[in-house]
Amino acid sequence: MTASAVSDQERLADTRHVLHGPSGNPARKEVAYAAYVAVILVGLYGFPVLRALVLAADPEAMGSALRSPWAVLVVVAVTAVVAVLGREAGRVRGPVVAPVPWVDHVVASSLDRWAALRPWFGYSLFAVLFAGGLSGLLVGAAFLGARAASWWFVPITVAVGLLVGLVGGTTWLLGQSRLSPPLRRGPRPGVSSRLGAPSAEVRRMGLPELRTQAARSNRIVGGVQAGDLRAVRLEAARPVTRGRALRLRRRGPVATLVARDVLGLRRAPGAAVVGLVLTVLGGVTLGATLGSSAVPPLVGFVAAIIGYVGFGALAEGLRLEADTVGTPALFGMPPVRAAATHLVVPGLTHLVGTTLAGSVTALAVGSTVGEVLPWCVMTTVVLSGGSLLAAYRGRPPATFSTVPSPQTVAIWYSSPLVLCTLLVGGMVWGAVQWPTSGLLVIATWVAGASIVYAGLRRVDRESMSHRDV
Amino acid sequence: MDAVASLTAMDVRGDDVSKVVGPATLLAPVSVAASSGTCLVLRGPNGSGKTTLLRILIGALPPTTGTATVGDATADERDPAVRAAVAALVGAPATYRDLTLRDHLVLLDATWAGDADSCDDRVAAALTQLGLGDLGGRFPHELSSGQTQLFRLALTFFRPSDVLVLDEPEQRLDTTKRALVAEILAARRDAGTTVVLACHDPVVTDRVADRVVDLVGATD
Repeated sequence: MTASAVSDQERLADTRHVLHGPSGNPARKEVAYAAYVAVILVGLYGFPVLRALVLAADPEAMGSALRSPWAVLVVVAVTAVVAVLGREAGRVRGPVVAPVPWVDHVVASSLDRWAALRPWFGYSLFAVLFAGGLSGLLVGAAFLGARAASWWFVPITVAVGLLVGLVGGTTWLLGQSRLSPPLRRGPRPGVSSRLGAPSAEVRRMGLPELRTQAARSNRIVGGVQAGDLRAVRLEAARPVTRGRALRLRRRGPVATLVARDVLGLRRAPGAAVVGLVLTVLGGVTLGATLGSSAVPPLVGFVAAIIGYVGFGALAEGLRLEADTVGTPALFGMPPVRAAATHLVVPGLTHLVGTTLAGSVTALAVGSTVGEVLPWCVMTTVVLSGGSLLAAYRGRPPATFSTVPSPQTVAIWYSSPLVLCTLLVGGMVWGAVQWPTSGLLVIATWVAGASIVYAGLRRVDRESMSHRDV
Repeated sequence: MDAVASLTAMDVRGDDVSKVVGPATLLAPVSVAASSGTCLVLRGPNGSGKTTLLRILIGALPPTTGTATVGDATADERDPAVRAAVAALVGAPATYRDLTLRDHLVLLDATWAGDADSCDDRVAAALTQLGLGDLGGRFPHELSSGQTQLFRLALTFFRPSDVLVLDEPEQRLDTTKRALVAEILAARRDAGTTVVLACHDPVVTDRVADRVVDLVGATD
């Protein structure tokens, strides 16, 4: 270590002592506690659920699938998705995010930037490796527990998980560091780092970018703690800059709102593509579940989750409309009519995508369109209602405290997803069990109409009840 | 402060309104009124309750005591008639991150059923009026703080209204733009709009105010 670096370490040690006293920074203990909680949650909920899914999906078939090239393909695909998501996440909130005062007063000083930020790099490195390893252990243990694989499968999945975590962590770091222009020369006499090494990437990070991400992270954490996920969403969303030349043309009120949603998707093509892909994937999953007895009916619940996320990606216009609740009226359309109009684009897109994909899949697995189509249509209806409930869910209730508990926040925000998953999954399961039941058809139509009505009622209530008391 | 004796269709009035939340008095009891075609300016030190009073007058906040009315109706923004009458800039309005400034005004015009044929011209004129003519293709996050304030004013001025309520419209604006906003407000007042604003700028106040109310802070 050079004399300068030693000096930096001493200065940092002094700074930490001033800030945290002799006990040092408690962040390490907090990270360890978070890992402890994650292990408990995975053990209590993750393992039993995944093991049950493997059991439901035929352990023998799953075991043979593990030894096929498909398993490698899945690992490669997951790694690629994690890498892409890591890079995108790094642009919003990277792995090296220190508190704002630390950035302003310590990182901004003449201290070596790597030395000043190394603890946060370390926490994140631990987090990605721990998450990867734990995920791998979960998958391996679930297959082992379902007797779909032997014991040797567990160390392999742990190793793969660690590797995927490392890849995700690397792209996460690069996503953050590449926001800043490259360093033109050595960062500091006597301090060297190889190009591409973590230290070089951290030293490359500029103060404005570090400060922006630190402040954004504060706001995101504050939004999560207060249950204000709308603020979190707006903080995390990348600014729109595409399609500047496109113009919204004046039509009738409804047509203009519809055109506004189409324009929004053209300016955010990533969301449109994700929405379309997930919609089609959800439709394929629905078609396979409904059309083939080889696919377990429980997969219908997975189709519901995929469809919900896909519909949500297409429904940004609805969420933005919901964001206007509580502000002085600018736009003239009544809230309920505006919310219903914002369902046109995601609803029609989802309807076309899921019915086409579901019907084609049904034909491919030897079924008929008639056995699949009605349930695909009902899925769109249920997801429309669920999207209304999600966009206008407002803040979680705070019965006993002004700040809702984490459990309340989790339940409040996941409730539309859970409701849609249960309704669509239950509908598919029922359709497989009793394909000719008229009662089931009536029940699903009642359920679909009810959730849409509940969504519109929620819009009306939120629009009326936000007035302070 | 003398209350206006007779109210016409779109008069704005607060009679003995106050706001108390828990132990804190946000607004001491006060009576204010502005009739159609006049401008009421609220002044006072920070914490004297100007914004609270404006929120009561637009119906976004129920008063603890007293009554607030817009025309013949109780000031309650849940009432569609009140929403249709009152254009307010009290706090930041929600804007769409995926729409340009021009798109915002087109959408606004469509939802208020403006004339489709003249829409583009009116949108261009509205942006030009506030010096934003060259920025119509920008997204809201691409504006400076002063331009953002001008855009918010453009949105508020553009929607049809009989009552304009603005909280410190001069904030973050340079001297020229403050004078420009004062001229626009004066023109709207002269055209019959009821204007109520909280304002710290003496130039704007001198240009537009028919009545000035100085709020004093609550004593507790």
